Amino acid sequence: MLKITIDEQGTVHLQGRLDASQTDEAAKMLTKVTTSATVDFKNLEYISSAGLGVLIAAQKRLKQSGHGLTLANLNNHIRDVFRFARFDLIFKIE
Amino acid sequence: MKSLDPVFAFISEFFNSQAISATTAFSVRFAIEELFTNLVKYNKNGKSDISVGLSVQGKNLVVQIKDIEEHPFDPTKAPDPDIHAPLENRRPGGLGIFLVKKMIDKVEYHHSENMSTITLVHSLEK
Repeated sequence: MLKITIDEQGTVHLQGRLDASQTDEAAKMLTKVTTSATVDFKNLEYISSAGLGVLIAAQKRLKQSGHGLTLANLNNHIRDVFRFARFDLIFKIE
Repeated sequence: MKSLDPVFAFISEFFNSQAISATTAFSVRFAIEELFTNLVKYNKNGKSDISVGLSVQGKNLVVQIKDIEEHPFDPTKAPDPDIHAPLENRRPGGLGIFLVKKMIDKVEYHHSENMSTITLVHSLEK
């Protein structure tokens, strides 16, 4: 299961698993982000390439208006996936 | 893609029963999801169920994913995406298989008598 929330500061919090069965919900929620924002991965256990696709789509949309996502608090496994995919070239990763 | 839920439940149960490390569990789960969803997406005419088998063989975890495919598609031969491309040219397609090849020790494909078999071999010492 995936839980995705946006707090009052505009930070997006992901919790659980962002796999192919959860991409519609994640994409829908990320359309609400219209300015630069942090995505907090602290409670995200797992992401698949379908989840990566959702993040790429959101980043492309935000970059068109000069904004972007910062990805924070990635666990080591997810950090490895992002390193292999060279997401450091297209996202700010903290 | 709700058909993933029973697959993940089965995998989790196996990992728990075999005390598989979190690192191996993440990589293997990632690989199974990518290959499974690929088969569901690109073998739309496939009327058979996709089977996923897991076993521990010596120091390795071995996964076999089988599906009836008239037209063989070898995921190990899929071209790698350009991971250095600028954002506007980045496409999610192809990234999954590329990552599987990075994360799993050995990925093999075999096709015979309309049956595709993908075998993953991954060291348990990780």
